Amino acid sequence: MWNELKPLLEYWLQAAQAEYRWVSAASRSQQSLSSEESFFAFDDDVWLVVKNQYLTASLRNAIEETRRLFRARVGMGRKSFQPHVWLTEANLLTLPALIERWSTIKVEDEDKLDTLVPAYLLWFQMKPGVLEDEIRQLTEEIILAHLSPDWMYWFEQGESALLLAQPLSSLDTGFQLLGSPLADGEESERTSLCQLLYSVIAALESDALLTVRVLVSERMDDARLTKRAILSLAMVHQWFVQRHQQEAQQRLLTFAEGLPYLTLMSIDGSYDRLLLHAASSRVNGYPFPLPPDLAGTLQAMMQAHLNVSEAARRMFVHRNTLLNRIERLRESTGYDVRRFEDALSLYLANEVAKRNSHQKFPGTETE
Amino acid sequence: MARVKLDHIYKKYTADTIVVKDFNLEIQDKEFVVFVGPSGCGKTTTLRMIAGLEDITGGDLYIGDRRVNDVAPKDRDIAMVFQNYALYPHMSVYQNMAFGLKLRKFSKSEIDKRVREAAKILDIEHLLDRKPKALSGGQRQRVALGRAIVREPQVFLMDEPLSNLDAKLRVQMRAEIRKLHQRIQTTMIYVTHDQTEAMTMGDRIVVMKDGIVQQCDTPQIVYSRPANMFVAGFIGSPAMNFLRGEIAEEAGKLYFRAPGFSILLPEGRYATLKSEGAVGKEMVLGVRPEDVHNEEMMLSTYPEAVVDAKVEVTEHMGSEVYLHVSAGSQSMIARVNSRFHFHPGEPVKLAIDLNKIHLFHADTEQAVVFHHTEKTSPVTVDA
Repeated sequence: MWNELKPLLEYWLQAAQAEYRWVSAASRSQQSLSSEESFFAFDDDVWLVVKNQYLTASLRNAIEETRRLFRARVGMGRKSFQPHVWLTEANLLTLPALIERWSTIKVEDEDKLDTLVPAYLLWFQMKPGVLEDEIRQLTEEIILAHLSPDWMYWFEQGESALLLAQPLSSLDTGFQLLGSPLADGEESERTSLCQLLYSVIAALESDALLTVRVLVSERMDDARLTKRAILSLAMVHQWFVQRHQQEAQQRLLTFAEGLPYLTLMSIDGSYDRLLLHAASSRVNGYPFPLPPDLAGTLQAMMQAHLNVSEAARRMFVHRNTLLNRIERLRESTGYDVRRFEDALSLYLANEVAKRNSHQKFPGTETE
Repeated sequence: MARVKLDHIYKKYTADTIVVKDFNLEIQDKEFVVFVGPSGCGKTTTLRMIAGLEDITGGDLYIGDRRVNDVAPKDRDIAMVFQNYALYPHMSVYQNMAFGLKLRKFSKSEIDKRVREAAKILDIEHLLDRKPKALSGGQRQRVALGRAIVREPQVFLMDEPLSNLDAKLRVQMRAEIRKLHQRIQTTMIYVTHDQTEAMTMGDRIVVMKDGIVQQCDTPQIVYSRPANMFVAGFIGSPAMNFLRGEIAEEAGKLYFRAPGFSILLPEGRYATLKSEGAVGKEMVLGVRPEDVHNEEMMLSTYPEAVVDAKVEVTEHMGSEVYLHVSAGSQSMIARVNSRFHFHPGEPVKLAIDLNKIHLFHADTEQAVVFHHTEKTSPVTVDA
């Protein structure tokens, strides 16, 4: 029980860069609490001590919810533990089936998760349905023809997924750089792990005829943080389902893309109205979120590093057509997406609006 | 070898996200069919449904005589080629081509035979020992094709296979894929957003927009008799000119009247225009840039279809010049011989070839369909 809750909570503590320590009953007599610290007792033997300056509303919320769950579920056995409930209740995110599946990895297997670091965890999600043994074997062979993972785990729940750990040291030097997941199809002299993963995806699609999506975790620099890396995969998945339908075809997603999302998540929801108000004040009260066509223009520009010609090429439209749409976007919102600050503001405003308006996210149903 | 039949195929992601609507098509054995349309029109989704990579929401899909909606992709006997080549970086070209067969437990001698045959067809025999890294883009794409050919599938599916190549190589590979089709005589379905690729490669092309098939026919018919304004504007470069105006009847004759000019329509078209209720209605006249002429002979052939225009911009393309002109309040492009010299602001007389005009309903954007028996030309020209 505690083995599962603790790393999750530590994830949030580390994300907040909080200074904290765990205090056991045995060591309590030797330690004292300063006036700048708060403590949270989980049970008699486990106390968490955090410096007050790091206790933001969301961190406090996470700690309280963990404590509540810990107390409610102690002694109930690990099968009944559902981390996604914890996260939902902690008002963070609704987590996908990934976390549920993670909880089914048995504790006695944990030593098998030992990974040579640095490494990335890769999650291959495959359609259609649960794979036959023959195709599973084919899939493994195709993956092993490209990658050299330390370990692999299959998950079969309605559809098949494969979790594997890929140490960087067992890849050719060129592939050790993560690269950008948005560079699919670009003829580039440079190689990267993302390029290699696109090759794996294409090989799986053409040789095993599978629809594949790959999620890449945070970079794992410590083998003890495997579960934290799994959580980062869950977060990538969550960002994915929150995104618009037009992006749903993206086959490769990495945690490294998530900086804007992490930034948004770290903003307390109570500021959303203020942010949107600021964003829509250039044109008197523009009603965010953007409609799909304008959002598509913004998205294409961001993906093309604000290069109009490149964005037009990606959208298969003439440059002048795109310039027209950019102008329309500027007239409607007051933001010119050819300017970095404007594009960024518009992007953040749109994401904030989406998280407030989408009760049901497009793409969720297709998962 | 096989026919492919798509019968009322639908793809929905959610109740209101329908990406393919009522797709009907029968592809004949050994036919080369191209799906073409702008980004997001559903062409790739349709191809992926044929491959089995996407579920079909509604309708029936047949390969040969077998309904394959619920058949696993691997049992559909198809091979796919993508824009990113799907090559194994650590393997040689030979191993890359052999890999799929090895996985399917083919004998060594059979694998060797097939790989060498495919390499010969694709003219890559001298590259068999190289790694993908050491190949150019065009060579990589050839190996990718080779990987599909060795499987000897019933149907080839190609999804924008040339998008990664530069313009020159694309033209060359276009011809090579076409030749390949003639040599191996297999049904091929090819997806592209590039109308030139579609026009030059397909036996038939399927033009799509917003998940709906707009027209499906041979390239010649799609070009010369587009079903609606979308198809007319999408196929052909530079795009067809659209002039807005009204059909007016005067002394028993029908005119296309637009601000600044008026064109006497060929008598042969009167019956259809009248039966379609076009008289007195706002219509769109479509004419391709190559059917707008400045030569004296054409000006005298079609005196009733001469438009007074003003040159706005000229684009020199080598053998010809694209003349961007304004006629009344509307703009138009004419493709004229490069021996003529024009300057911006200069007045110019242009004759519209009345044999080649298209008329569309302004409200529905659908073409007025004229029957072949109708005479379209008001005059005959002595050679």
